[in-house]
Amino acid sequence: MDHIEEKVHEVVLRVCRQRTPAISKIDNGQRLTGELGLASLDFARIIAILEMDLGTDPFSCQSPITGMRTVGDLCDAYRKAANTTVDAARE
Amino acid sequence: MENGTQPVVVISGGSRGLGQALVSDFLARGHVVATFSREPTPFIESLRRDHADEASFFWERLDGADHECVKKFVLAVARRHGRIDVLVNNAATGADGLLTLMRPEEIHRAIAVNLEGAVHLIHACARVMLTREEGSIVNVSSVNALRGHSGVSIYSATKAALDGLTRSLARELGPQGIRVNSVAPGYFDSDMVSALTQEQRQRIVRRTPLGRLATSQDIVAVIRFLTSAEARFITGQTLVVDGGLTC
Repeated sequence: MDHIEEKVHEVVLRVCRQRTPAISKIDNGQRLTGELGLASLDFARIIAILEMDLGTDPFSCQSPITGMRTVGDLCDAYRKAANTTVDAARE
Repeated sequence: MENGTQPVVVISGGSRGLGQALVSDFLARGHVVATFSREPTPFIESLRRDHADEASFFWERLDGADHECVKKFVLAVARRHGRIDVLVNNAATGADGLLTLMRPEEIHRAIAVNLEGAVHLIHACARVMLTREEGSIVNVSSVNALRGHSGVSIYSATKAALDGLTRSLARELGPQGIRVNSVAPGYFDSDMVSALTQEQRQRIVRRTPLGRLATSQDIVAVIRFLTSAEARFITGQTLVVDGGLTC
């Protein structure tokens, strides 16, 4: 598990626990809206926290948030955004 | 990232007028204040000298209509202090004149600063507030949003839009512990009122039940209240501070 995945899991778990305290573990296959029951305001909070922690928001210009189905999709979006940021810094 | 205990306040347009009075008030009460304006004023220069380490006062030269710069400014404040507790959307530009005589660029500028600038500043600050699930936003509106006056149609439109934004955002952000309110000042001693003739000022005073123009401190006191814990159950409201002019 890379640091982006670790951070995404940590933040998703933190937000999910406020809604469902019984949730103890996050994995990439979990569905964000169905299984984890996240609502739009939860997404807003997750994105806000991750922007502060990872310094990037993939949904401001790349993939639409509505395309995210699973926790793994979310991790991929942040990895892609991090790579784009690194590439831009190199150019 | 530092996570201090002092509340952090973002005030747009803090270099003069009401913004200056707000900056002074929040600093005097021990808040960390971050503000921006297009140009520094002697007031800003003096504060920068007194707070050279930028620990409790931070100013940046930027145009509120420049959304990318506004976002970077907010992120810099959030990274430094780990929080934003209060946002006062104060920056505005006057747009006086008959609509039919206004140039398109004047109309665009007023909407860009007074409305779009406020929206984008809220967009950036509310994200930071969401991380802690608390915060208070005050939009500085105007009595012109409530009553029609010839010669200020675009200004009125931007301020009325801010009030609509306030109400919808209050519903949107309330569940996350963020309150959103508007303050609608009447005529108070400011650069915008300085353009009025003595006769116009006297007419306003005559029509005001409390018999005078407002002072900046009248407005600051209401914003102080709305952003305090005393107003913890107030959101989505527009508080009119005009001495009764519009009642």
